Amino acid sequence: MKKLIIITLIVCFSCQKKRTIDPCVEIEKKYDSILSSNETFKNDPIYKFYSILEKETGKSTDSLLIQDYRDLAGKDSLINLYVWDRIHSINQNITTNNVYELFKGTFLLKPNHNKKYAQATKIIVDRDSVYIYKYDKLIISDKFTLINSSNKYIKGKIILKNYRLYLDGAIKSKLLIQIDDNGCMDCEQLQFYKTK
Amino acid sequence: MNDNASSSETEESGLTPSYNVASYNFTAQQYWDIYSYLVVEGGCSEEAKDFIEEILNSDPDDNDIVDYELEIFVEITETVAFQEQTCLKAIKDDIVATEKISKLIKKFEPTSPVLHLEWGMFSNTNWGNTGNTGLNANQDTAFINLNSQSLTHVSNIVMVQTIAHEIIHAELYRKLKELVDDYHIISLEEYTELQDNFLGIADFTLRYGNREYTQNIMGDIISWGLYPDLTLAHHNQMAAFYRDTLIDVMKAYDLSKGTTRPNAEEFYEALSWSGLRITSDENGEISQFTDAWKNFKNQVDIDEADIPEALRTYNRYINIIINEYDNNGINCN
Repeated sequence: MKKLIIITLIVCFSCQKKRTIDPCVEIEKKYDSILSSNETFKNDPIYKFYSILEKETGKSTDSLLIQDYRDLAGKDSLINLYVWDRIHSINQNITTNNVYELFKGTFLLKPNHNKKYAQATKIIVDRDSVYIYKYDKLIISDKFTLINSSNKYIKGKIILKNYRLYLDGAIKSKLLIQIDDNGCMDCEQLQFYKTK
Repeated sequence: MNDNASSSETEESGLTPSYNVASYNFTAQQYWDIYSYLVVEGGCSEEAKDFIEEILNSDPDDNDIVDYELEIFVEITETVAFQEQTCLKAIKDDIVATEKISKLIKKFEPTSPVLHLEWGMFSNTNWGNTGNTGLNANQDTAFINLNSQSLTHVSNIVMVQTIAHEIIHAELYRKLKELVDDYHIISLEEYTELQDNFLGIADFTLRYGNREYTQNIMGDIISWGLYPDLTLAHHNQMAAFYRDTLIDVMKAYDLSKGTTRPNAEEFYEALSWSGLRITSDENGEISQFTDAWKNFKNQVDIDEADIPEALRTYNRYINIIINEYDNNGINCN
């Protein structure tokens, strides 16, 4: 009986020793563990959020991602916050892009203003920049910031250094830009019609 | 106090007889200022006498203002074109001498000015555009320019209101520039300073400006900037809080000229709205009313619902304004 116990113990020890020193098994275990963690992570809403965020391009096609974002919204209030922020931003970008597409082009000073006294006579909105001219002389040009408007008449506002350009589309079906100069109070507010 | 009274008081106070104060073209207010500085506050001290001597020795044709408190000459620059408009200049000088405006004007020329002030003229056939106030590119000088073509159309009181209106624009610019480096964009630190010092300016600048900021994923603000829209901010603030100043200046001017108005309260109240009803040009197709005017008009429509619209208070005000604009031109005779 004693012999049997000793043999059993030897076999057990040898098995134990063999199992702990096998590197393949150890790696396999770690790999399984990582796979499992990864699977958990992939199912995590934050991972899903980032994977949608990576697909955004800043263009109008981003609107296709809005439903994916909506599907993510759930019980996690932090994720919900991120999701609604992205949906709002995409909607805002789409509006901005639409306003930009509408207003890119050349605008000329309305005839009721006196060209001689006017600060500017022509505005060109092209790509990401605005150019303001007095006759053919360039007064100012720079990249601009386009801000959406909640005003029913004003579609957006371009901020260009000291100038504020209001983009208006409601007048006699003509597109119109009105200029304000932060550096001059009570100066004549000039209006420009878009040329065809 | 009349001129004779001032002259005799200065002789009594020990002023050297060789200084014939009466030969200077001082206004009654200036005589009073000299007297009160020398006798009442200065106690006829040698320092006070020396300062008065300096004033009397200065070129009487200069348009400098004397700040008795700081004991300095305040140099206000005027272009030749402005000085040639003698009637307009006389109106301006009378306004600058009024209590409220003189306090504002003095702030433009302390020992280290935030903003200089210059007076000039411009010409625009749109004579309804009576004046404007601008800043130079360095943002260290404000220019108040008045339309020479308005002078043959509008009445004196319109130019009084215009000048006071433009001085308030300059004052709002000056306060902003006290704390803000570049008024095109205001940083968070500058905005906080504005809130601490000029809450009204901070409020209206934010309300009518555009705030741009970025946040990290934790919600911390990474960048913050306020792009002001000063035409909207100034006119809305002036309409809400500065109309009493405009009324006081018009009343003080009329009082100094012995002018009395029928329905005076309504007359001044009406004219105080001039230039403050609409922030865009009246010739333009877009009329953006100031919030203060919209609120006033809405309230009148409720209070006077039983009166035909043409007779309601705001339309009476507009008629008074039109009448004073479409007038015979300024007259100093």
